[in-house]
Amino acid sequence: MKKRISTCFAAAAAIACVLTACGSKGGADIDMKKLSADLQGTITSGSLAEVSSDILASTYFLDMEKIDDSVAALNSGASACEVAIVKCKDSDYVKEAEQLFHTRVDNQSALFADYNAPEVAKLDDALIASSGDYVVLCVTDDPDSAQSILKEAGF
Amino acid sequence: MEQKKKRPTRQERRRAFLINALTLIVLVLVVFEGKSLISLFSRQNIHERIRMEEEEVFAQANIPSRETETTAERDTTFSAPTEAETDPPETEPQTESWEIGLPEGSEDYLDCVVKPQETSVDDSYFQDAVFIGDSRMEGFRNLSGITKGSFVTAVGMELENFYSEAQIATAQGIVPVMDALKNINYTKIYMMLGTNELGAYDMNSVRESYRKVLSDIKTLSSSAEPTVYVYSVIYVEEALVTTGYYVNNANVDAVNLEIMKMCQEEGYHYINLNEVFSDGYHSLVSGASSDGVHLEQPYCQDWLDYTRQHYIPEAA
Repeated sequence: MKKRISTCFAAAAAIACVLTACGSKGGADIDMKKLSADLQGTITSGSLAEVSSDILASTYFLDMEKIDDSVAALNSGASACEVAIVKCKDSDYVKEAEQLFHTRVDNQSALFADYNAPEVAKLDDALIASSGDYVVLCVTDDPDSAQSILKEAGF
Repeated sequence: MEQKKKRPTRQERRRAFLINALTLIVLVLVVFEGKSLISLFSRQNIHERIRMEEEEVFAQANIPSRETETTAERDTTFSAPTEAETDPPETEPQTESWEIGLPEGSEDYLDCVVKPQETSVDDSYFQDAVFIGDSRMEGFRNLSGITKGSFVTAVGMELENFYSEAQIATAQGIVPVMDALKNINYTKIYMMLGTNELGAYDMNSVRESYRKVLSDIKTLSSSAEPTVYVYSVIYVEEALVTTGYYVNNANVDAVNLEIMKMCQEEGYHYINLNEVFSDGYHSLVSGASSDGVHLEQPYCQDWLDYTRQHYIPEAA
């Protein structure tokens, strides 16, 4: 009898795990503000400040009609560090958003190469990842720590 | 029978003495340090109190205080001069607040300096404005909270590479500044260059390059006579600067003087941001920047407030 109950529990747990996709890959909600704050915590060269969605849109050339929610923190112009997280309305836009983040990093690398070359190394290590409908970009002084934070958040 | 009054014990006398002594100390503190206690519980912070007391002392001694040279306190409000303040002085000429942070030798070019207006504009004023500039202007875009206007900014933008380098990121890729401007409708131009020119050997050539750049930008405007605002180069905090010895405030003053000359000659409007960012000694106010050059968010917000109040009213 005990064995049967244990088996039932195990089966129920397995089903629950499958239904919730055992993590966030299936689109579990992510606390974007907290994730942004955690990622900003890995940046030591100057502080970032959260920017409006208009600034975010014109910085990354995102189609905001296809964005459900967003948060971005940019810097004073002193460094290349930044954090941007978007939640796409539709998973079809995820790849495009990722590509726009890659373009941003490429452009910044080209611009900083002449102006402030040490920042290019940070851009080389830029983290761009997606999970479900979320896409994140993080240019930081400590990519290892940022990577751990992203992993913990389900990326 | 009346109960005999009990004589206090030695321990009770000592306790009473202690209570009396403590009461006396409290009274002395209240009487002599009342002002301090009041300020402790008031909203005024200690810096403000020190400033006020400094002013009181200076006023009594009839000595101009450091604050007559600077309004660089973070809580500066950009109030327009009142009638009393603008009255001609009876004795010595007084420095107007908008003259703070101007370079030495700029007396002949004061006409181009934008004076504060009584009413600030809201961001709709910037609807038809383009802001062009280097990484400092990019920081302003990112952190000031401005909600209207087009921005054409790039880290490392300078007069020397203005035409030659593709440096503006657009949805179509990186393009030169002039190409980026072709897609924008603007009748007001806000320009900030000069920080990356601080190492120039010939400041006259900086002035001439700036003149040419602005002249070309005007031709792309949707107005035949666009309003041209030129921001001063903001002071730096030299102790924090790591990008080169030439990034210093003597050079900032030198380039600003050339910019003022150009503005005066061309009828452009010079926005003297150093009125709020000078520490009173021709240097960036401490705490405004983590690298000595780029302004932190509260200062970018001050920059926006200043811009909202310093404009040329449109003719009725």
